[in-house]
Amino acid sequence: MQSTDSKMKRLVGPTIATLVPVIAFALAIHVYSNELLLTYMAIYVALAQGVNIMYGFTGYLPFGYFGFFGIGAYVSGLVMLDYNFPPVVAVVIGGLGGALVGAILLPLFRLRGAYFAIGTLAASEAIYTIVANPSLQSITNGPYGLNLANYYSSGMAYGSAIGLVAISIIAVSYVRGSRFGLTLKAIRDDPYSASMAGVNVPRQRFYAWLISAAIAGMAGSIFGWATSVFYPQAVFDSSLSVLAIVFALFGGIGSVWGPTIGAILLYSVYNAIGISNPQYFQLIYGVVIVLLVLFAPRGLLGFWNFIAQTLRSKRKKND
Amino acid sequence: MTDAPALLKIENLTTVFGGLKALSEVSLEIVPGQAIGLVGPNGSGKTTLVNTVCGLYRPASGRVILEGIDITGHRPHSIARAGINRTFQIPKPFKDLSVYENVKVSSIHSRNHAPIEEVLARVNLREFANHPISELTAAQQKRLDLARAVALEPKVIFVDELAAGLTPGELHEVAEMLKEFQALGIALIVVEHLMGFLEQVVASVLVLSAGRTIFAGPLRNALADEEVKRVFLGGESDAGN
Repeated sequence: MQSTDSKMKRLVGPTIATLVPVIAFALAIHVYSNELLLTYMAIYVALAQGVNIMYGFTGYLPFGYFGFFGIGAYVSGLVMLDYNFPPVVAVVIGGLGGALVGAILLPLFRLRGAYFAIGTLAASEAIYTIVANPSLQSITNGPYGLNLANYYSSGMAYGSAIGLVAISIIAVSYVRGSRFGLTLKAIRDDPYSASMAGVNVPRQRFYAWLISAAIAGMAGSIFGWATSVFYPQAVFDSSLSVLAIVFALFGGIGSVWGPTIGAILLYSVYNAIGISNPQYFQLIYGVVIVLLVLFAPRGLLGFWNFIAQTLRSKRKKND
Repeated sequence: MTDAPALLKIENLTTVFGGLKALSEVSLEIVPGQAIGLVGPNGSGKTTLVNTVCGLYRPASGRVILEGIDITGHRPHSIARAGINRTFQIPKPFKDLSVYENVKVSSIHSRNHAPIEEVLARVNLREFANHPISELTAAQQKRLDLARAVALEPKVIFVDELAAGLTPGELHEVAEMLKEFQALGIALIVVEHLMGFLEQVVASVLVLSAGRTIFAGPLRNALADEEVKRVFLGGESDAGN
């Protein structure tokens, strides 16, 4: 009975962390009518959580994360166009496409640190070059992109994006609270020590990589569906990776709430600046990132924890 | 030496880095519950031997046999799960995990899910279970490495300079701790510079110099061996220090 109670208690945090953003997105459409922008915001929340699984729990920075996103957009788009799959099913297939490419890129794990980051970037650029190649026009439509106008349904796409937010947060909550997450954190701290603790490092890292790639694949699928018409450079865009990484870092990696908060706040700022002061956009955004690195290197949640810990130890001293 | 069948057999192990032979045909046998000292000056190949047996380096030749099974070149986690584990000269705790969680990582991968509290008690870290790693001293972090190794239910542990920087009282405490592991049937290969400490724990030693074995046998004979004195002790008989 006691263990059931403690299990229930353990579920409270992840449930709140999932429900709050899901309900917020569901209600936001009644307050702010730009559905496409909200869809993109939800997609970025999912992407930031995907980066969180990879970077926050294994320490591997996937600069080429956009490759899975682009593959997801193309795989789902093509199964809709060529096989007439329903969009929601196509989104799931897009996620599987992302995971499959993740499996193919597995040898990249022989690299570490900056070399891994650059390696994933190069691999994703290579995938883009292949997909956009005019000689593959009969399969991918080459540089002309895909037209999914016949499947356009902004409401369904938005609903799917919210669903993906829930899936990504549940995935992160599971990773964080599970033995799997514990072994990933051990790997992040020291892969060799982790292996001497019996951890099959390549396999555990591979699982994290697959989950992360599948989330990006589904995010790309929903992006393509919501955007309706897209060119390869729009879905194989390295700035997608940069933004997802910055959002995750801004909120605080390794946590459940951090990337959600980071993506919502920073994407709002990103769009607000872009609309109100487009001429200062790069400057203001750059300053925000510099301030983040200087004063909150562990993100907003890390900063919050630091302040809470300081106050707690001060209170202890006074007692 | 006992007549029990060898638990771990290292046969003519050679490790090469580029053109450099860091380890040259080193052999060793150990039986359950035995403790052997692995000594030698800096750069003699002690850590290379540990790293090679534990799967970090692939040997150029030679074999590592655990309970009759050849595990040469296996991946580190397979070797660890098979029963060979180690501690580190510079401790390597998982910094973002608590003391308890550090040991839990090993425990969940052990066959019988070793009880974490019990393992921590064995290395005198039970009271620190919920502490962050940053609150542990270097000596405590080394004991945590040992706890992590023990939690995987090993048959052999390479104990790498566990005694460095300890007071005489602490040295005695650690020696007693190692003897308790021996009593459980765990074989220990103790990499150490402190002869005084080794004398409390091991009866025999393997002495390496420039990657080669220059002596294998009883510790007191090693202390009298001319080549060992020349290479390891610099010609002076300060073995009791």
